[in-house]
Amino acid sequence: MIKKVWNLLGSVQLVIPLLIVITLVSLLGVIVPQGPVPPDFLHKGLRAAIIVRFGLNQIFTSWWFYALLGLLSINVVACSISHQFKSVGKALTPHFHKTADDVARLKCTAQFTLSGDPARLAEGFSAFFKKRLFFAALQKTDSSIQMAARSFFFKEIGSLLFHFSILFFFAGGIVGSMQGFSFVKEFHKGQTVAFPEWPYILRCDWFKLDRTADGATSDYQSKMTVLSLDSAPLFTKIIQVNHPLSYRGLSFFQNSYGEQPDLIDEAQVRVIGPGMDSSGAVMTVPFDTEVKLGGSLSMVIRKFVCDFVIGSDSREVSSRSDKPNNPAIKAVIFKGADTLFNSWSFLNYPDIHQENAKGFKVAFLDYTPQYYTGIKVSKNPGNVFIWLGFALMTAGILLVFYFPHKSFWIFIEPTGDSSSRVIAGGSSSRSLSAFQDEFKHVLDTLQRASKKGP
Amino acid sequence: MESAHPGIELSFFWWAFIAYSITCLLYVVYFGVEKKWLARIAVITMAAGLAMHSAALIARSVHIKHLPLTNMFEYISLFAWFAGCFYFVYLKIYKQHILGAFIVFIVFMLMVSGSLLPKDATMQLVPALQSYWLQIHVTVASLGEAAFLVAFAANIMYFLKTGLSSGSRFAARLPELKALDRIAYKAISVGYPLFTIGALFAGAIWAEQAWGSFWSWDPKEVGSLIVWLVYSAYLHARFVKGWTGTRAAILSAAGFTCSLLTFFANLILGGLHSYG
Repeated sequence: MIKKVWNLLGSVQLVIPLLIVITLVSLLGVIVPQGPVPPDFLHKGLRAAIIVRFGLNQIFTSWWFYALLGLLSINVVACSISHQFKSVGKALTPHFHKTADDVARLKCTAQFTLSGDPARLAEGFSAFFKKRLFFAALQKTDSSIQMAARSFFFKEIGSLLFHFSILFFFAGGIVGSMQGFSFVKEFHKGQTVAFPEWPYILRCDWFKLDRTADGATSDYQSKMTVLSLDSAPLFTKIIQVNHPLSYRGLSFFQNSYGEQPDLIDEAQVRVIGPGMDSSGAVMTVPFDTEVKLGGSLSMVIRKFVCDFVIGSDSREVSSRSDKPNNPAIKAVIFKGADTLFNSWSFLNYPDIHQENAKGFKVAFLDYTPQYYTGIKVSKNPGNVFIWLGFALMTAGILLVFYFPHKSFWIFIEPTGDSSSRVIAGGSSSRSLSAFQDEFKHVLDTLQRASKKGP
Repeated sequence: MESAHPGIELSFFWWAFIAYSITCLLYVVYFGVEKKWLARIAVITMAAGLAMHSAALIARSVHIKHLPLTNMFEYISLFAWFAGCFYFVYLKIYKQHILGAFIVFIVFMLMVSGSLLPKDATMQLVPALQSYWLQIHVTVASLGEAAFLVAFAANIMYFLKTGLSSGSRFAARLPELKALDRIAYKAISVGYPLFTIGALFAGAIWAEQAWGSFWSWDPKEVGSLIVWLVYSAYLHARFVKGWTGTRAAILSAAGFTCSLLTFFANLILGGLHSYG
């Protein structure tokens, strides 16, 4: 039974159907949008019902897709063990031709005569090939000596590495999904955050957004500092897309940014009031910071909402959305302990909702938004397997494609006058024309070396 | 997005387009009348086209201050240029004008597709593209796909040779089936390592650096994986099961068709590769 299962798993016949099934399922995953479906999706007919019923919107995270990939990995490794190890074993066993005529019938052949007895020449030939990392062996008969030389089994090793690398990719995926995590955390300037099982604190020092003249985003970056638990700075890096920060097991990637819905850096306002110029004073007021208006008057911007709405029952002000559809500030003007003005001003509607209490008016002209920076926090202990997979598969592919198999056979027969007749032949997985050149070069070198003697 | 209307580089592109179309015409006539001098002129016009195409790529690089690899027009132009280079490589190796002619036809089709795409030059790269991995990932992947294109040209010739009657004069001029099978295999054995390392590995490493994840099951990623799986199936079927001939040619042609579908997929499906 076990043997039957092993034979099935190690069967090459299983690889092709599995590859086809995985290809078709992947194709389905491309065609059907992946991710959670909207609440009203099920009302959209049979197609939607099928997608939800069979989880076709979550193919790439489904257990059965992982099972298919797992089966492919096991199949590939079992095939490698069954076939590739056999190939290596076969490569180590010398293969001899029966007769010199068999060698003479190969596509690359040469015949020549060399002085010296066959045994001495065969030893010389064998040493020549061994020096070039070939496996060489001799077979003696009454009338001749045959030398068989085969190139080092780079191709077989490459094939093994290639197939085993798939197992590393799969292991990386499994370890990553079981022991890793990733989520996006929004930081605002100066915010510190601690993460579970990470004995440090991360602080966002600042976020910077660069735009081109036409307003497109050219770059965005965050200065992040790793602090010890007692707030001592340990490591600082400005992170950007393509330049993450990695520190003791966690990595932080610049992921996104956006405007804070309830915070701004500063607002530009026009203040009109008793004792002031009739056109008022235009000033830039930092958020939540008291500024002097002149004399003993002071002003502070207490609140900001990006999309003003007031609750019909609670009468509480909040933001309807995260979009700056109706930005408003709540400005307060006071003199000592007396509040002289305390009201909302609107960027889009400068003339409404103004309480001319004690003759003051605040017009909201502009503001500098405060951005949050979206940092992707990631831990993936499976990455080491993925890197190993890359290395093994790259090495495997290079060995398979660029280190072709080469074999040489040489029959050496005595001619009876202290010289020997040499019949050589070769074969390779290289193209015939390329191997013919190499064969000629090797045989020329061999002849010159033999003439020189040991 | 800061962009600029293309300048002289587009003129070079159109000159290359004209030269490639003349080469195609010359080869069509060559198929009919079998005059060697026609094929020789076709090589000259192809060389002129490739020179113009090179000038177009260089001028665009100078204009936009980075390699032109960031949108579909630029990718298809680079892809066609690599395939044009392979035309000369294969002409030198196999000395078969007829193989070159099929490569040129496909190059010309790529140029036609490219000519229909928006050609505005992007001066300012989006932050995700500001990485040296852009050059490695895109150039190596397109070089690999250009090698697949050569295999596809050999596959089409294979299908024509098997499909046409044995008495057909055109079929007789096509290389032997064994030779076509071998050409396709050799091209795939050049393209497969390049595609694996350039499209999949370099792309995954870059994605990890930019987004913190090697793989996101984005439509283009899945498309590239499908291309890789099909060519892997081709190589396994060939090495292990000894598949050659028609079955191998069908698998190889399916691989190239998948790579074309993957290229155009983001026009419909979007995703992380929506820019190109």
